[in-house]
Amino acid sequence: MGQEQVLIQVKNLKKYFPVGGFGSKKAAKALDGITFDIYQGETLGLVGESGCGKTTMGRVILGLTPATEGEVWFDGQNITHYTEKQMRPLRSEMQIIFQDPYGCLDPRKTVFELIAAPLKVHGMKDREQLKKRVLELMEEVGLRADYIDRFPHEFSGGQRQRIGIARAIAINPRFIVCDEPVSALDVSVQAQVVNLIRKLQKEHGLTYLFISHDLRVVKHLCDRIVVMYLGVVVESGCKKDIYENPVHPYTRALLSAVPEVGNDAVEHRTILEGDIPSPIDPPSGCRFHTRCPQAQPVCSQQAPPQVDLGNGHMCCCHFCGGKP
Amino acid sequence: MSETLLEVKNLSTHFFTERGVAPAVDGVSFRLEKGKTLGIVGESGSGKSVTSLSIMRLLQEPAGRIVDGQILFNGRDLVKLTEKEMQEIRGAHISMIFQEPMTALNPVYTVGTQIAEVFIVRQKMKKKEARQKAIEMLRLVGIPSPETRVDNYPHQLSGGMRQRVVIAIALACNPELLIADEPTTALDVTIQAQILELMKNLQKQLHTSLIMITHDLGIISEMADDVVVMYCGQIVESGTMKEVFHHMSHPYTEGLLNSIPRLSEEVEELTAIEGMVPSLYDIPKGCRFHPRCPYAREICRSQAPELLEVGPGHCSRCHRYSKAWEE
Repeated sequence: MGQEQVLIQVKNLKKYFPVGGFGSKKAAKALDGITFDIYQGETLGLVGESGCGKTTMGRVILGLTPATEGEVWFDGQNITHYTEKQMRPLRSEMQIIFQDPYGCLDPRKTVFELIAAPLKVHGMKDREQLKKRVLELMEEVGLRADYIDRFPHEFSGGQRQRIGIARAIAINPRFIVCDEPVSALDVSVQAQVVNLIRKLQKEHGLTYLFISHDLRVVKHLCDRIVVMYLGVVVESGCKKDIYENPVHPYTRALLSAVPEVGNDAVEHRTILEGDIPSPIDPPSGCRFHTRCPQAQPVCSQQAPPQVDLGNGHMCCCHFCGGKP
Repeated sequence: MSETLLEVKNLSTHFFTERGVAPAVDGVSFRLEKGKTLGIVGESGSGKSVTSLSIMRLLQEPAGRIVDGQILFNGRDLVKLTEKEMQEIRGAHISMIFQEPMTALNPVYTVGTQIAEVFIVRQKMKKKEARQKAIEMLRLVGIPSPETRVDNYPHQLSGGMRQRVVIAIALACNPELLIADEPTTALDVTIQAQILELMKNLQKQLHTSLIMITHDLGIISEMADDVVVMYCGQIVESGTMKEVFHHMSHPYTEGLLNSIPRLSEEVEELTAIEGMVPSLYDIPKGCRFHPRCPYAREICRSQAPELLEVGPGHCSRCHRYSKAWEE
């Protein structure tokens, strides 16, 4: 790797949501000191269970939710405190595909209006030109041209997601946050959309932040992976390291929990006890210690150090370096 | 062979709406033996949930009706029972777990009250006694400190705990058959692993038969003894889990399996099934899968295939196994 260009840099990012009403000092620590880079042209997978902060992460990078602390850099600019006006030109470079293809499309607009909207915002006015571009985009995402005057309710989930994707790529962005784009889809349609996302990346040299809880899809699509738990990164590294040599007990448990056809290792499955704790009052020391099968006294007292295992493989655990 | 608990024969459930008749379930037959697990796989609109609702007789009548077939439970045809007789069966003999545990629980009653209700109504228990039983059930499904949790409201519990409570309610009367409709779809993977493990253990302990409905072939391969694959209201493939997964015979099952990326292998591109599940109001002629099938020929477009035996106890609804295919 080495010479790859960094497109997005996230530095010690924190996002606290105040809870408990006026005067309350409590906060849900959705993100609590996250640092990672995304290289030009790669797909970075952000994995974790509900409440780990992965969706908030995507929103903070795009400036849709302001950060509490820390920095977000895009292509050499610190965009953390950009105003709406300063963000405007960058919006055409950074887009998002949402999870729920039912919720993100205005039901009263036709496919043409939906896909043309981002083009209009970014200055394309001529109707003929708009129509030409919309048809081009529809072909690209695999929608038939005669669907152009239909409304969202006439489409299946997979087709709606294609409309969402067409909207995201309409203005030729460089970076797209894919927030669980296939989770709501049927299995057979899911594969179509996954293939489409990959095809578009190749053709347009897109950079993705792919947020998902599905470790199978993430393995298929991503180059590098960041595993989150309760607002912190527990392990990160290239795909091979994470899937073939997972070090953090949480990553291991996540991987072993995936049900697979013809998996005979079911007997050796690590089943985690208990539930994910609340981010309002996260456990002391290592946040995972309440569910960790290997927890020792030190885990509840001290936050684990970040250990570099080489080749960009990082792990936050008291025991991953071999010594406590 | 062991005893048959449930036998569904040629079941057809149709929905009568303004847009026409939707044959959500069309001639479905299968058997479930005592203590075994049957997995029903399919995507949305395949009729898997309607099949389970038909067994429970919980269809939205009059729009949805069982138009044909028998559901023999311990030899008794559930289709012919009155609503009152059916109420005796539900909960006591057959229970159901739904996908979304929050909507299955009543938000204004404590979980203890909701579990105890089953004992009070079914077994005419006194309130105090029922509460004790409720605590026992919570302990059985692995909820920590059940003595305090019994007074919690559903919103105070996490998704995984709520699903445990739903399982506790479903198993309260020790039913012979438990139908689980996508019981872990709304849960996180680590919690899903917990719930599946719990269901397996409870099944062993209580000797309950299980119908597991899901779109995830991985879950089926871990849980089920027998599998039924549904598409467009029909069974397209059925057999023992081993037979179906090792000698897959229907192009749809094949497609489903290839659509899921695997942890154990790497592929450049996923082999997706083309197109989408057709509308039930506009079912393709001939084989219902032919517009999406890579093997489709003329015969598939004109003639509907029968369910043919392709191996021991293994059936497939595909022309490729008929004599007419070679001609």
